[in-house]
Amino acid sequence: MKKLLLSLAVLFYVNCLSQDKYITRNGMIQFNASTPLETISPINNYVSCILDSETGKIAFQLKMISFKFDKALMEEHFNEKYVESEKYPKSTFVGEIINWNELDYSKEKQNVISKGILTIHGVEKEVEVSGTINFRKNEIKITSEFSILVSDFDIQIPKLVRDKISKEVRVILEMDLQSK
Amino acid sequence: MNRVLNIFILVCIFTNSFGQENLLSFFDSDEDILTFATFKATKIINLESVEQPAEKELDFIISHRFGTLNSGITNLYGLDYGNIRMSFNYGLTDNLTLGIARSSTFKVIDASVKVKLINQGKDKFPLTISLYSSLVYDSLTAAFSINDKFSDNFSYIHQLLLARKINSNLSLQLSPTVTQYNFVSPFLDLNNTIYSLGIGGRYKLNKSFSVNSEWIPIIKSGADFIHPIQNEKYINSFSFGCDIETGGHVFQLFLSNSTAMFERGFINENFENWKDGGVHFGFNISRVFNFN
Repeated sequence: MKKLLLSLAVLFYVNCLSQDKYITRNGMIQFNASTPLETISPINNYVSCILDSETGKIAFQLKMISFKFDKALMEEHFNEKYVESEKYPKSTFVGEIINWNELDYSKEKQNVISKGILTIHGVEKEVEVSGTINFRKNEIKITSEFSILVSDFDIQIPKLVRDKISKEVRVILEMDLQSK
Repeated sequence: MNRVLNIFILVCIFTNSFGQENLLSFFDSDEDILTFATFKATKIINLESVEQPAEKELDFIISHRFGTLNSGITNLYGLDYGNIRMSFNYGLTDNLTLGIARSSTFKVIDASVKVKLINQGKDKFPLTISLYSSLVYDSLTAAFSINDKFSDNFSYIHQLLLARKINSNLSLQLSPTVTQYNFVSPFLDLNNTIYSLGIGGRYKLNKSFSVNSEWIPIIKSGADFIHPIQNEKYINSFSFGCDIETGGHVFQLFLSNSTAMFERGFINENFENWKDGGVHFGFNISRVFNFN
């Protein structure tokens, strides 16, 4: 009986361990919608990200209003007129790393593919993006670069400034996740 | 013994199911979101709004007020005659603006400071509150002073700006104001201290266009309270117009019975009345320059 209890205790402990979440609240996402007429590349340094290291499930969340632009007026137009941050304050991604089980924890930089639902401006879209993952001690670093179309998320750009804002937006992402 | 075992198994199941919940629920959901863009421009029409240029930005406003609409076709309904004001407002920080402006009316120079005290949304606070003060240098009026004191050139206004963005389209503002004259022009029948209450608002009709209005009744002159509507002596400023926003400019077009473009003038020194057709067409054009 004692042995059984002990093995159950170990099982319980392992179970807890394997629940390990890696998390950050200060991840970086930058997007670039620049055109020859206007440079538009704001940075958001307050992106939250959580990765379940058991399953490879991953989620991101950010406040649109935390994107910092070079020009305050541009920031205001972005929030007020284009992404409507009062109506849709947050953008999220919920998905998983689909090749999670093939990853080698001892290797440094490896390519990953993540698939999930990206929600911007209240519009949900299934996306698949590639990136890299870097395992360190109690730390996982994730980077990715991908493009999205403004039109996919029902974001209206007025005719007057249409030539100044790129229709395709390049997104760069960098997360340093700490073991929770 | 069996009970202990049961508890262990339960705990194991519980911790297991705990791991299955939505990952997004790990994030804080209840954070402050500061209200932004309560108004499109730093002015409602004549009144200052709670908006300010950001740090290291210069907001240049050029304003015109034309003659009265009832001055006839010979004066092209007022357009032949125009007052101008050029105003430069620099954001020292996001919450502190210094301004200087020159008006053709009385050749007045005014220097101003605007400070934001609290932003709506901070700790769920319902209002944005700012302070605005301006110092007016008016040597033309002071020339009538018999004392010949240098201080007679100056008058002051202090204003508390209380604004609330009620929803993404509707914003309202109250501006209790005190005007202090060191010297009142002999052509005006005014007390040296005048209290007034600016009431303004805007309603957005679409993303780039809003209608604005403001009314600034004088409520107290010296120690005497004034009825905001039933009074013969004071003519209160009323303006109505629209904001049109393009990429980098805000155009404000409106009708007003005030022609001065500095607070002391447009609040206290009005000579024309809406009901007599003493209405002026005017505009403000605001352009922001970035020094980052």
